Amino acid sequence: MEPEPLMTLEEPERASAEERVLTLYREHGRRLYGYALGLLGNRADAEDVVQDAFLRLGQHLAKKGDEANLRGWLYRVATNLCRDRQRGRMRHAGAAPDSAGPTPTALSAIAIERVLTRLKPRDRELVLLRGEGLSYAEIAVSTATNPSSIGTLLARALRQFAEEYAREFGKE
Amino acid sequence: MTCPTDDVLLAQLEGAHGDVTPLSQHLAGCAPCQKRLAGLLSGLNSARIAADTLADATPNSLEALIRFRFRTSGATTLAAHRPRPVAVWLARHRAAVYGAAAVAAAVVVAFLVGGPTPQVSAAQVLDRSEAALLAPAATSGIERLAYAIHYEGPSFGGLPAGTGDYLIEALCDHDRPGRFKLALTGPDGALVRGLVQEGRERRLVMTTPKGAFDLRFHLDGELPSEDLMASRRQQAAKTIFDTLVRAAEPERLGHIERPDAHIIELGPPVAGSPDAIQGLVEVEHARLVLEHDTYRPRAIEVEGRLMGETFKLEVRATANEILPGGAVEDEKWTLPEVSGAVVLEGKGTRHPLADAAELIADAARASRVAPCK
Repeated sequence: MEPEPLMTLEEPERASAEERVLTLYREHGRRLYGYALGLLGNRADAEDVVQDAFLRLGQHLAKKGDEANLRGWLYRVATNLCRDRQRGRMRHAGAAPDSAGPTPTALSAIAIERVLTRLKPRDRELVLLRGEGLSYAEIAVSTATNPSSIGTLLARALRQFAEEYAREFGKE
Repeated sequence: MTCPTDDVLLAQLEGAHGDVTPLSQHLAGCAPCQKRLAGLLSGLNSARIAADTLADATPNSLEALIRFRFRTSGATTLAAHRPRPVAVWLARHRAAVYGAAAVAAAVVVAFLVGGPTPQVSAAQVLDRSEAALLAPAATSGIERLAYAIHYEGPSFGGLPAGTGDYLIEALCDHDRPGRFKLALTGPDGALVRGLVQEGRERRLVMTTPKGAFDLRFHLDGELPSEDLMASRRQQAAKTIFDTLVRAAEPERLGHIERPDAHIIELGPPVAGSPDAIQGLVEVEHARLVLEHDTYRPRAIEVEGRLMGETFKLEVRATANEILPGGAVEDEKWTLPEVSGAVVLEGKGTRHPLADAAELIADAARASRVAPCK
């Protein structure tokens, strides 16, 4: 679903929302992109998700939405957008290999993407969100998971990730 | 104390509050728990490394893209639908083997003359065309696509020989999953790049300024579920619609309806617009010709500047057909040997180009070959 048009806003509101969104992008954008890339394994899709997430953030701010935890809000929106894309891929089997190819400098990121693809989607989300430094409470909100289950689920996901990571990079 | 559960160990690692003395005492004398704790610590550290590494892959252009979308969102259907500056996209994809092939899914050079005022917007036409391009062409038989490319401009990764005429042929056997071929032939008639797969065996041949590579991959596990032809088609759609057209501000787009075609024209860039930013590629003019009734792309022309030099690209489809199974001889599914090519072997995944880059980089690290730019 496309974000709602921002052109319905008055110009001062729009400019203000834009400035805030860009400030928040500078604060969280790179991490959010890494998160989306880790979940989707596709750079173009990750870019689209980040763009959509920040456009929605603009709407959220313009509507005077809750600003208590905008980082958590962003990750929740990004998680949902990524899930939508993953479901779309499953429906359309031909979608989304990252066929543009990497630069050699991006190879370590590719290797990590490969490790992540061996995890279940929810485990991938948990590992990356913890890697981003989100609290258990934020992870619970971002993934719509019962907060009391996060510790157990995260521990299992981290153990699995550690094994796959070691297998990929040849570490003990 | 009995052995703690993983979540308790993890809480310990994360600096849980409260009295942890019993747990510490237990850990000091329990080797299995120490091992579990080490595993969790390793997972946490790896997760942080992974997050940092992936974040480092963020393109610098993303902020500009968000600003651009913010300012255009909702202005028109077109602008609200993922505009992406040409320079940014092409900079990211310029080394893609099939960049030109992707553009080529459009096709046949046409001409722009006057016509009646269109009843639908450029955005609506493009939406219909994108849907047509993404739709599966066949579920059985052999799909064959061929494109002729005329290019004038500097050499780059996609068209390494520079100015000249190139040919692309794509074959996909819908009756034999995992069997396909893509080949790009240069102005001298020699293979520039090619990709063939037969079951689990995949071969990628590429010539670069550093030399030729003949890369052979064996695919473990399940065969990729993606249909390569569908993937190409989708890449073409992204190229045409996200890059060449949707990149533009709405005021740069023109739509003319003729009895046989819809013609979408991308006019000169507006000063200060994102795709007018100094970059590797600046598109000054592009024209997309679509079949009138089916909205399938027929032709594309692009002119502009690439790495500071003028370039012109024309792509025409010369074949788009479904052949009966077995109509293409076995030798047509292979690639010729390339004299002097460095032959490397590795495991393949569903990302042929990523596999190739990694294999070459590994070999470069082992000082066997020069790294491929």
